[in-house]
Amino acid sequence: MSVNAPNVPYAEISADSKLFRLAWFFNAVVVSLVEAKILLKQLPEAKADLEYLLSEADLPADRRAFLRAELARFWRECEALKESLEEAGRLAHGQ
Amino acid sequence: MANEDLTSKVMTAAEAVRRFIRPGTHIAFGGFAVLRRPMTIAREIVRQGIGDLFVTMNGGTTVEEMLAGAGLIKWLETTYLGMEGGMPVAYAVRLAIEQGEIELVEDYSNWSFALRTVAARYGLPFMPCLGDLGSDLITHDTFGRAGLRGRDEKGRWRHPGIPPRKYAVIDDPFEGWGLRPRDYRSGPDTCANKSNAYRQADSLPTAYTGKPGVKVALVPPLLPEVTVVRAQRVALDGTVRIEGLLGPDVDQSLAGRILIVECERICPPEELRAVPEHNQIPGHFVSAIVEQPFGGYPTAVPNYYDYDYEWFREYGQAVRGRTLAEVHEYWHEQVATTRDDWDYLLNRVGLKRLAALRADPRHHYNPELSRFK
Repeated sequence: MSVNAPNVPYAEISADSKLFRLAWFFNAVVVSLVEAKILLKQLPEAKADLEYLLSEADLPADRRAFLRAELARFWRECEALKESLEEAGRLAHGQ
Repeated sequence: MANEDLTSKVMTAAEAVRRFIRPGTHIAFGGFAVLRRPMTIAREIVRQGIGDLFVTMNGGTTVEEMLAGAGLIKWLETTYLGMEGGMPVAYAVRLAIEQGEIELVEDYSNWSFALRTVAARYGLPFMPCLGDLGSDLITHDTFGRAGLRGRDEKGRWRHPGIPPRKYAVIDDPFEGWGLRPRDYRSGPDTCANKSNAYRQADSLPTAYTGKPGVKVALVPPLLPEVTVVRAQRVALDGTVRIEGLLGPDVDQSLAGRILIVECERICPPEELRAVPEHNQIPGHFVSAIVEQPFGGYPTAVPNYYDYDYEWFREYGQAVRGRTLAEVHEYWHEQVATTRDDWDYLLNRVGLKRLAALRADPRHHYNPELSRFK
């Protein structure tokens, strides 16, 4: 995934440039993950609301379907992220 | 800050409109074209039937077409106003102007209007503009002809939202020194700015001031009583996070005396504090927070839902060729007879149709939908 500056062959980039490009790539991911973690802190409250709503017998079918579709979409992205995080874990531990 | 303080700005659309909008209010609507228009508040104005409005916006569409269609606009200060590819000339607005329901229309370019909001945001008395020079926007002065500019015999401004002049044109005090373009290292500037020619010209124009020189149009700040914008998230303390293109909203939000923000979701302040540089408007500017999911419908709210192309198509079919009275009836039936925006969105539009507009997070819009050609 390395990105060369225009017209600069990768081999000509200094080791320090490569190192910091890599370090700041990790940093960019960390910044995004920290933001995601702050959002995910609200999961317990969301879980309680979700359980309550889905247990409501008179929740109209279209609302129930909408909520389930949103939940499925959320989980799909979580699954994709889980795979990426596992790959990140292997990378971080040199496997 | 106590919780009750944090939630004191949260209210329903009905309450926000009752508190802050009256007949004749000078109101600026945010968003741009089919993007993030504050439809919840606009629909509530239709429900409450508040008329004689002085409506202003940069790039108007559905809000203004609906308000004109409901017979609620008296004066309009605008730039482009149409329904994009679905109806390039807004039908109800046109009929209302032709038949005198909209009494006055003042016109600026998108750029000069944007600079008016920039001036207001920073508390500046004017902003310089090269864009409208040479066009009849400079000389076409509707509010001036109507006697609304300047001061009355007691020295008061005739209208607090109408500046004493539409434009002022001056000679550039810096003699054209700062004009683009120079030859950049990457090559000559290809921007088709007429000022390019002035920089090297032997003879400079004498228009407007009588003196040869580079001219600058000055535009006054935009100072509405009320600004309404739509955002994706607003924290309980009023901090506003807009995602995607901002349009004129940030400048315009800081220009009005009262700011109503309608949003997809109210969130805890901590959520927006995590990356504060992604927030645009601090809470102390906000007078009212109104939460209404899908409330921007039929316009688009990036990351949440796209605009409803079918709505624009169907609306065109529904009103084209009808009289203004029939268009009033259409909007009355569609909106004024609904209890609130939940009623409108769930019973007039339907959750199935709304859900089909959901944005793909990879694109921020919905790539599967039909679009304007």
